[in-house]
Amino acid sequence: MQHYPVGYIMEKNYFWSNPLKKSGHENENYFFFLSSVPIFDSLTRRQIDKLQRIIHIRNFSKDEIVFRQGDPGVGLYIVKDGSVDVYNELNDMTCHKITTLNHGDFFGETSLLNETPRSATIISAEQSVLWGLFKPDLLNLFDSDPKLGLRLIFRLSQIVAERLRLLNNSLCGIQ
Amino acid sequence: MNYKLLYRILIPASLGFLFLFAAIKIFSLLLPFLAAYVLYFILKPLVNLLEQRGFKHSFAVTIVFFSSFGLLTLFFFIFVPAIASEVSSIQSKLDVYMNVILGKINQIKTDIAFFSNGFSVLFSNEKNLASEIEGNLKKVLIEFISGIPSMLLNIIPLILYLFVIPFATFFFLLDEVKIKKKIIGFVPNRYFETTLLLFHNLNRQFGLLLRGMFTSAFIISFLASSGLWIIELDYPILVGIFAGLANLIPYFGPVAGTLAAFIVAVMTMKPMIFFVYILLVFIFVNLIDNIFVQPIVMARAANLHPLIVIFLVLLGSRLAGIFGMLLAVPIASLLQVILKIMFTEIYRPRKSEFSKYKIITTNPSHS
Repeated sequence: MQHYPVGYIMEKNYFWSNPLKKSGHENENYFFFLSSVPIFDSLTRRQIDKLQRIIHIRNFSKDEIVFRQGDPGVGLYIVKDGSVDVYNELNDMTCHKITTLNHGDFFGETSLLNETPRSATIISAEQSVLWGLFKPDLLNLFDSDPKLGLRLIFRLSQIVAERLRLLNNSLCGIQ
Repeated sequence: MNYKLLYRILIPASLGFLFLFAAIKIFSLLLPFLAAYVLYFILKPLVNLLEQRGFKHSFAVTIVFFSSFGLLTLFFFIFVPAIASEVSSIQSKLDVYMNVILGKINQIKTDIAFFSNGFSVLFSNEKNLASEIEGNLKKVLIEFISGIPSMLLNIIPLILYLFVIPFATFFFLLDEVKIKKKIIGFVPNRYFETTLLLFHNLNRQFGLLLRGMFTSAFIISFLASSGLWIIELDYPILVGIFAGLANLIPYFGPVAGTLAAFIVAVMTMKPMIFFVYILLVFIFVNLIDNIFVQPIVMARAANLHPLIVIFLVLLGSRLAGIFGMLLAVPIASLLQVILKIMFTEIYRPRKSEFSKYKIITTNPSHS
């Protein structure tokens, strides 16, 4: 019997800390990490600062489900710490492990473009920290900064188009 | 014992009830924050507009906050004395107006008596009916009009609210994302995305409704006041504001506004032609409302069938009087958002637990 933990691990002083207090060190970390993720590499320093405000930090324990194939999805996750396994569920109650994603990898980006069901199941392979970027927050951000929205969606479309090209190539190879 | 059931249902439910109980107990304390939340929704588009022009978030919030509260103060300095003078004028002439209305009632009474000669069975208790109307109307009018200064002045916490509301509004505008992140951060991973979507959709719907209601009330108040001022009806601002606020109640509101103007015309003994003028003013205001304001402002906010709207307004009036009529449609449209997401969640095809799947660690494209 698999155990499904709550998943949310409260950070120390998370609630009682002063929400207005800013830590320079923390901002630097955000910047270097986010600008290393392909989707955000075209953004300016100021745009990344804006983006980090809407990122949700989620903690997952080992074997905890991030999402299941077919679930409605509203955002992408970036692996900050730890790793996650990607599975493809089939109708005959089997599932194939496709790959493992590590620090800096991201998944679920298509649900930022349209609300299609998740195409794979993601399980946390170890104690992991994922950074989530969700469509509702992003839409709010675009209201105040359409330029950021344009850059982000343009980069996202490039990535999706590249994946489509690779998929076409592999399909041609199979045929 | 099934601890999973206890954990999943009983604990959240009891926490929810506890929260609800606490919220009801300290409702008056929450009111200024609720008001600040409403103001936040009205001012947010202006902050977005400045940010689109390249202003930093904190700077945009400061500019919008100080300019809007400055404007509001100016508005109060201009309009509050005007409204106050209208109210005190009504109060000083209360006896005169009461006599006029009583005269009209007596007139109606004689009319009823006249007609009832022919329909003695139907109007057998016409005297009771007429005196009942007279008594009730007198009571309501005196209670309402003499109660206005106490309503305006006796609310001491209002002064406290005047400090808390701007303070809270400023921080809602400045730290909206941080506050939202803190609140939603407590939701377990399993329900996180659904909660986020629900939170966003509710906020969006609430914002649309509030902005729609605020704009609509403002435009209608302005148009009705101007129109009534042009035809030289007494107390144009009071009646205009009443019409603007009443207009928020679908279908019934415009009629209430027109009736209020009619009552003022009767009280101030205007000639009959004034009723035609008033009717023309309100027809014009309603045309503007239906052609320009409603389609642009309210159409996106409440997507409900007119029959359902009428039913909801009646239900609201039965449950909570005028406030019920005012809030029926907004509450229904928020419930619509919640139910839509809940039904999507409930009717989502259920899958077997992941642990029951047989895991194959090869790439499916190669198998």
